[in-house]
Amino acid sequence: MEEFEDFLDAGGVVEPNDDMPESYRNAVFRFIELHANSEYMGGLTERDWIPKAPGMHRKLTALAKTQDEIGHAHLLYMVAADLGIKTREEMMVDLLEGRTHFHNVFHYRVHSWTDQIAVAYLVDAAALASQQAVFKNCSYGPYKRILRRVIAEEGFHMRNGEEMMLLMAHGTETQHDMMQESINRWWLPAVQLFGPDSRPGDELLRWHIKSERNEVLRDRYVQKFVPQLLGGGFVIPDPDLRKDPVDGKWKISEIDWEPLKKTMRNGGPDSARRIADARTAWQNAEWVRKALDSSAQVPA
Amino acid sequence: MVPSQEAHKLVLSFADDELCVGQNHSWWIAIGPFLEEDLAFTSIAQDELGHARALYSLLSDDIDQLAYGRDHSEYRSAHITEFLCHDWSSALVRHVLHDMAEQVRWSALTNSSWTELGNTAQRALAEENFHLQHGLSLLRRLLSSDEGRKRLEPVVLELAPYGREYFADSDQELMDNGLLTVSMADQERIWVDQVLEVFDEFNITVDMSEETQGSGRSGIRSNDFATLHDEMTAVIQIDPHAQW
Repeated sequence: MEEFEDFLDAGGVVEPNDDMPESYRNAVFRFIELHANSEYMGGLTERDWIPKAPGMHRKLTALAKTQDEIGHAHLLYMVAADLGIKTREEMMVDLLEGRTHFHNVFHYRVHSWTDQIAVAYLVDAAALASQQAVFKNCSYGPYKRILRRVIAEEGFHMRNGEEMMLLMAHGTETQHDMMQESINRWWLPAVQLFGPDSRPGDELLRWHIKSERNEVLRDRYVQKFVPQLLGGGFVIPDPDLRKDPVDGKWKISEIDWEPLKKTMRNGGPDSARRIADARTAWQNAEWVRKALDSSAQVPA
Repeated sequence: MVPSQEAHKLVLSFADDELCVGQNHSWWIAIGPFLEEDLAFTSIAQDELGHARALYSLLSDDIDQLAYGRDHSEYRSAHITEFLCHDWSSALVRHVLHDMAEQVRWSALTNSSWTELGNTAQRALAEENFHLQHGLSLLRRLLSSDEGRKRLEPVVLELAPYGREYFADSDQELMDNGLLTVSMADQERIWVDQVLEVFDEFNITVDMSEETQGSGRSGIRSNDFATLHDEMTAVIQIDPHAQW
């Protein structure tokens, strides 16, 4: 292990067929599986409002965005499967049976079009920041290569979200109010996406899967998004938000991480419905997968 | 500049068909049978909506007003495009029937005397090859299995006759001035023959002998249209004059 860690510290990149410690293989697998599940569940989170997207341009953009998320899930599941721990189907079944997890933000319901904007703007930005930090120094080669594409696309999503948020900021009173309500709902989940402060000796950091501590990423996000939201005339739903007179940085309230733990165990506000919807869709289409498998076995 | 009232009607029918099908396909994102299919179907949904946009833009500068702002009776969509098809078998069969019809319809417009329409048709036709390849190969593979046949055959028998309505526009004037190069009757014949041939491979005999089903072209909407329209205008109607 020491030799392997020296290799990683020296910037070594691991490929699927290389020898690697089982603990590393498992850690990388769990991390990518969580990411894949989250992309897929993100697509399900957004799908409620795609048919309702206002106007042709928004509808096309929303479709393309969610298609990107599903595309990310598709790529990530394949990269995860290559690690030889679970097949794609096993990962899907584990997710739909509630045995594995996905990011906190996709356990909430999208209640309105402006919630959809908040997801694109606040949530995708938080996800992007996390992914960029992984990409920077990622020791697992296939994941790093996939992240290059994921990050490029998430960048588009975030800018699209920002454009829509600004439109609401300068739109009618109703639009501004709707956007504020959505910020009220999504601010904390977005900030929580970074997770609690990284543990000392976090193996994901040691093995160069992550490159930055959770609290560093969270703080950077807060410094960027608080001024943007205030600039749009919005209120940040945090009564203790303040600017530190010494370092001039924005400080948010202490976060109570207990509810997040429950959410991450699939006990969030919309977890049950989301997983049940996905499971029903998956089960309803089982005949398609089986029929295709059986016809694939027939010689042409 | 729209050449005539008849031309306007023809393009509006086609655009409304594409709008409804694109809207309906988009319902399937993230809940298809497997991820590759999600990706493919969503691409097709985007293409169909793109066709709708291109066609509406020939008629008006305010695409959203035309696409979403009319009374139900002013739409001209064929009923088959309005059906919600929230069962994947019917979504697949409708996709195939629709794209087979589109191929015939765009082909009848590629040499149109209305140049902009002809150009739009050429671009759309290039995409149709991919849609058909996708739909037909999937359909054929599924029909080759017992379960697939059991599920798909009743849907085919029910939906296919509705497809004749795609060709229920008047065409005399359009043929006379070269706007359309294949008559509606001929287009319908080509489509019916192709549909019969595809299903004949699997000994499924579709009965196309009845009068054209549906009356979408004359402003009568199917039962599903209200749901579909409510969905597509849900946000816009909060404030139709606001920018979204």
